[in-house]
Amino acid sequence: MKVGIRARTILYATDTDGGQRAYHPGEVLYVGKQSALRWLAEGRADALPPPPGVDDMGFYSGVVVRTAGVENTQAALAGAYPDLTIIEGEGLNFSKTLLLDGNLSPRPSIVGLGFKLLDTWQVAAPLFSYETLARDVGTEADRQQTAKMIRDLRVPFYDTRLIFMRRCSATLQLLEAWKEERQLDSDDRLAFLRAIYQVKPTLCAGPVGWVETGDV
Amino acid sequence: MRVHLVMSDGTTDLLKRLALPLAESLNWSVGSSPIAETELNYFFPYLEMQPFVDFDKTPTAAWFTHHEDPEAVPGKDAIWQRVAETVDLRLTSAPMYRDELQSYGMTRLVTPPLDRKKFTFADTPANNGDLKKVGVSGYVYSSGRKGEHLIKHLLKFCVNYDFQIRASGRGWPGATAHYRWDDMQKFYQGLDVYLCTSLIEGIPMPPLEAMACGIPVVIPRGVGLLDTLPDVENLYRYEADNFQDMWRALQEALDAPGLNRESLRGATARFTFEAWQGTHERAFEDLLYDIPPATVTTPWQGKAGVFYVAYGKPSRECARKAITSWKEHVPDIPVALVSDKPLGEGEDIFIEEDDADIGGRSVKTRIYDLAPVEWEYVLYLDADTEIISSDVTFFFDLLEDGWELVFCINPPKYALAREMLRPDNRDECLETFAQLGSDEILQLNGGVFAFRRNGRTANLMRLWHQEWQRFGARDQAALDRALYANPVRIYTLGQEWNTIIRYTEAERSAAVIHHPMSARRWRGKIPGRLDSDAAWDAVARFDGRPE
Repeated sequence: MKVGIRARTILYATDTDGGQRAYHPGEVLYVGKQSALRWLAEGRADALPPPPGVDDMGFYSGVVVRTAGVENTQAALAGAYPDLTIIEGEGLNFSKTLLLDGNLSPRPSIVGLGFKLLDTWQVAAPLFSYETLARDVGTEADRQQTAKMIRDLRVPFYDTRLIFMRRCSATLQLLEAWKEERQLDSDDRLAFLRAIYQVKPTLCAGPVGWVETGDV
Repeated sequence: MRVHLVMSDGTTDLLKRLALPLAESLNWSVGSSPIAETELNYFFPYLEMQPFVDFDKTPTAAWFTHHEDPEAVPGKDAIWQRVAETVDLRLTSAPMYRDELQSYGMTRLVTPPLDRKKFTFADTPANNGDLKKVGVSGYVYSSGRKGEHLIKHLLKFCVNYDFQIRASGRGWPGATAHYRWDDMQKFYQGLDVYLCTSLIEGIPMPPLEAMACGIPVVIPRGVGLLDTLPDVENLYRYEADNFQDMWRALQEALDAPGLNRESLRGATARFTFEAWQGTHERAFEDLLYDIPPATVTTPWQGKAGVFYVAYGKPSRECARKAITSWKEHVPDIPVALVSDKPLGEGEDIFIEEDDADIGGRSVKTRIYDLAPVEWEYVLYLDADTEIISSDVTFFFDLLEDGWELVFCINPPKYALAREMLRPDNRDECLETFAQLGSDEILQLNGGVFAFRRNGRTANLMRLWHQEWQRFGARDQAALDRALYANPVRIYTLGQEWNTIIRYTEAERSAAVIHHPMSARRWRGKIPGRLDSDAAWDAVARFDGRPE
């Protein structure tokens, strides 16, 4: 498991591409626990602030697990957010809701970040890929349906396993549109892409790495 | 959602019963005056806002009960109007008041709560024999809005008929009993008919409470929300303030052959605490977090243009090629160039601006105000871009479909905002990450973007410029600070639409190829601002001129 720290001096560590690189003061790097503890002890790095607490998220933040696996989510988040409400369902049960696939163990830092982003954005969701485009997934009929709406499928799409939504008219409409689009036996991700195209919420696209696991 | 309920200690028990459970279940704070440390101050009822009409520290909402007759109670009418003008969100329970209030701005209906566990059928139905009991209830005020004159008139009649009036509350003509709230259901359960004589009401609750107890009701038209009740058995309507019609309806109620308690009670099923809470939450969430629906836009053809900025020899050289490529693929869409002197290479519009910083950022971030006002759809392209396909108009298509802003992400290697941290922009980046809550957000590339003109994008673009001015360096962190504080409907594209060939193969490009760094007129890193003497010295060195 990698630990996130912020460099205070120049530190050398493996970057996400597997190569060695220099991290300058202020930069965040993710390293093994032993390295992190050593650099922290030597004063060469600072610990990252802990993820926001439930109080910081607001009284009404909660997680709705859309699939089986609510126990996984509870286990993944219990340490960081012992008071966070986690339920099974498919709606916006909270003022700020994380709609989650139960097979995914979300990083606590991303859960905190997502809820914070909803202070201003209506929706926050990570892109599925930087390489795979809407034209590369779904059935031919599904893609045609999507192209009819979006015009060009050379566009990224979202990872629907982790979506933060602020409850309001736009997002309730979005959820309804997504449900309707799914009824066409569509790829869930293309259905979501069509739904956001219809409703046009303020959507904060997040990096692909939001669905990666592994921080503390 | 943090809400502060503003309610004075001296408010009525009814209002406390309505508001305080909301505050308790939704974790609101409560006080007799508004506070700044909350997302919303909610005045319950609207009269509570009178001393605070100048309060402007947070958005505000108020619950409007009933609108008094301006002639009878001119003071309250003035407060109603003043608060309606002032408050950001108007809540009311009666459609008639919603229709009136929405001329002032955002107005929502909230469904009042009825305690249907308390107000229920009597274990043993009342048996009043031949002398039936007609009930009225509530507190009578000097304005006469409870219609007490109708009861006064009715009292003269009923001595000759087989019913008697039973009044609960205060101020009714004739004998009036006071029922404690705990026993109020017993009052209704002992009646044969409940009569509502009110002329002006916000809800009113007593007919709903009587119906939940399975008691027939006689109710006026055009009062509170009563017109929204379904026409079920044993519900009788009359023209408000019309004694003859009320008498007719009351006789029908008293002479009715049967009693359908279930249908009366069923008609009140929607008045739950959950509905009261939910309609409040939805209204507040829409006020605080919703944005106006995406507007229907007109086709972009004839209203679109592309905007280039080029200062210094390398950049102007790049701009020549960029404009040539644009004209080759999309000749019908005009080109505007901002520089200190014309290029004369195909720009349709030249906009002269001083060479204020070595990266042209101060001009670029003023794009909303510098681009021709008749361009409703504006595409910005760095001078070091090259158009390879007319598909570039996809940017305009997205805007025409209702999106307000289109940006592309950085290449995957630099997809995260944290990747923009360098020694020369450390302070700005750290401040930006702290403001955003993380450095693990997508880094948008400022070299290719498009926007549609409206108030929201005007605000965003001007804020971007302001934020850029603070540090005067690269513009990406400034964009992040502006955008995350004031999100708009942004459509995020990938590297296909801004293909930086240093990191992505050109074959992947859909329309725009980006040749980074080729427009720069300096080498190395610039410590500090791009409009500083040190920055201009770097340009001089690059140009080979003596410093």
